[in-house]
Amino acid sequence: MADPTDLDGLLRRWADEQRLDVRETEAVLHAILPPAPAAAPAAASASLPATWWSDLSTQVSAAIVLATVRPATVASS
Amino acid sequence: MTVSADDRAAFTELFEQHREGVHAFLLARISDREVARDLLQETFLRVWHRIEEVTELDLGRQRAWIYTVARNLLVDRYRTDATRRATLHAVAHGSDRAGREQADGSGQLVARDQLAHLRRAIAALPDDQREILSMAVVAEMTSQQIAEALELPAGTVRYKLHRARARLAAELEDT
Repeated sequence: MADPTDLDGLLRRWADEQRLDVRETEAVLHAILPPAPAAAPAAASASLPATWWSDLSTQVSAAIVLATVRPATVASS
Repeated sequence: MTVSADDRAAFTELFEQHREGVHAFLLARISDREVARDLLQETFLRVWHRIEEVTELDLGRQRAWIYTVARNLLVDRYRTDATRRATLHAVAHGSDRAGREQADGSGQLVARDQLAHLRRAIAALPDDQREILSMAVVAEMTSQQIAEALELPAGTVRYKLHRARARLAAELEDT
């Protein structure tokens, strides 16, 4: 049984009744300021692996080496 | 109106900072949850329309500005005696949320009766005491914050809060 002189406890219960809940608060906020549309994710970042830059650098380096090193058989002929 | 991300962020921060206090202030005067929510929305809509101006004010003046808007909206809404009578009736009989309470034991029944008694006692407080009590208890505002909002000395706020609590305590002890 609640103590009739527990004014603070009763006031806390009364306060809980009074407050807006999260859903009501969001409804008020969104009525004034509709949520901003979410930014579209970049297509490239969605499809490429995280190591794409390192992989590309390695492949480019290898291609440059292949193109600049003349095979010995060709040089001697 | 072009909505910049900065304005949106500034408004959201203001809304979070002041919504509970403004709502408590409105409920103390109008008490009907639906009406108080509508007025809360209208208050912050006006804040949004003046967001650049409001954000240039310091916190104390921002608070005073926002509560002045809310007070003016209340005055508009509060002109008829019928509205006021409905308000006090709603305070005395609790909100719709309170009406959903389920009492399934004698202890809860007693507690519910005490809460109903408290609501009636709060409804019977003078308007200014009920307003300050609501802002202090529901929105958990300090005396200084309430003083800024209502443009009163902080000592006056503390005195009225003390008087309100003393009156409620006396009412509850009489039961």
